[in-house]
Amino acid sequence: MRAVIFHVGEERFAIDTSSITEVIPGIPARPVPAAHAALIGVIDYRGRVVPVLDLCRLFGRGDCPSRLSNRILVCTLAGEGRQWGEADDAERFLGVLAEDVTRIATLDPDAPGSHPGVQTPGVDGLGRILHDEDGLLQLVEVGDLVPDDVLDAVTRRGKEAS
Amino acid sequence: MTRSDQPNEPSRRHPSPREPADANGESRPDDDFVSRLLDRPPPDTYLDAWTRSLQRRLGEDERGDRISVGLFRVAEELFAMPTRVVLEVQHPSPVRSVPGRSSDVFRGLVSLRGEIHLCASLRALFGLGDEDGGDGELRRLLVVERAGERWALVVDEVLDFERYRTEAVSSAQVTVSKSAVHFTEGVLQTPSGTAAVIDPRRLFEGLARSLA
Repeated sequence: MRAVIFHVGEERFAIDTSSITEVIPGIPARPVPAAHAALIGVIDYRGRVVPVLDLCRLFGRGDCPSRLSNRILVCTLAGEGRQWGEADDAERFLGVLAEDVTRIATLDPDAPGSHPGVQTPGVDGLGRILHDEDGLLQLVEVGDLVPDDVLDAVTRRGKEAS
Repeated sequence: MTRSDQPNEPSRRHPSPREPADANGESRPDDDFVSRLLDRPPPDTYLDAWTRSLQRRLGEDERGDRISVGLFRVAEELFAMPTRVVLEVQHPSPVRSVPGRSSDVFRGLVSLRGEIHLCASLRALFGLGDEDGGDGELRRLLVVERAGERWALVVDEVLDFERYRTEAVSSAQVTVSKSAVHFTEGVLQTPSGTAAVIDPRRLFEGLARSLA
């Protein structure tokens, strides 16, 4: 699989390109009060309100430092059994803010020696741990990072819409 | 995966996410440079521009047919060359005249990166005077190709390459000088002014005639 490789703090992670719609610069998000701590707000992404998740916050690394290499990975959450509102595309996107999004690589998630991953309390969506020539990296399943109801609350679209 | 193996980077605001490439722990200088460059905080103008750009719905500006042209200036007149015939823009090179062949229009041969190109003066072809007049600082060679024929055209300035709505092209020819009108197929309204759109077929026919 092709995956976008990025960093959270010093560790490397990867997201399958098939779930990524576009990689955009880390533009400032409009904060949404009292949302999930890792949801830094929403952005206007081509006419859609898209919640943005700061992976540094989600993984307990504080705020993502402001850098030129920051990118928001605009991910699609449809598929894999999840049915997001078909009527309005706004619900089907999640922005993932990450550092040093500079590479795309071909990864084999089932390569010999890879590790199924460690269950992390409080953080879902962390997948297998692989190694490549640069060291170890961990796959991230975007759809599982944040519970649906959290995203729904931010985009103000309840489940009833779908 | 710690940074302790790279102690000579005290200027980092944050431990760099970049890791060395090879198993020996030696860092790649190119990657290091890129990494430091990208570690900078983003300029506000950059974020503002992107925020605005991303607010536009995709396809909003893409509707309708588009024409992609390179704007260039010959003497005081603005012209638009369809991008599909443009190979490159080069700084002027010495022109080697061809005895018995060279004329006002066909100036001779130029060598661009080891390739010989026919060189023509658009001022002469368009009847807009000769190159000796005016400021040569912005003068460029516009290298164009059509049906295997390749020419380096001396122009006074190359402005930019841009896509315009085809509606911006009209057939009015009033602003174009008399000789140049033979080589154009309409005028295009651009932010830099009104440009005459070159018809590559007629242009190349005119250039070929200059060799006769």
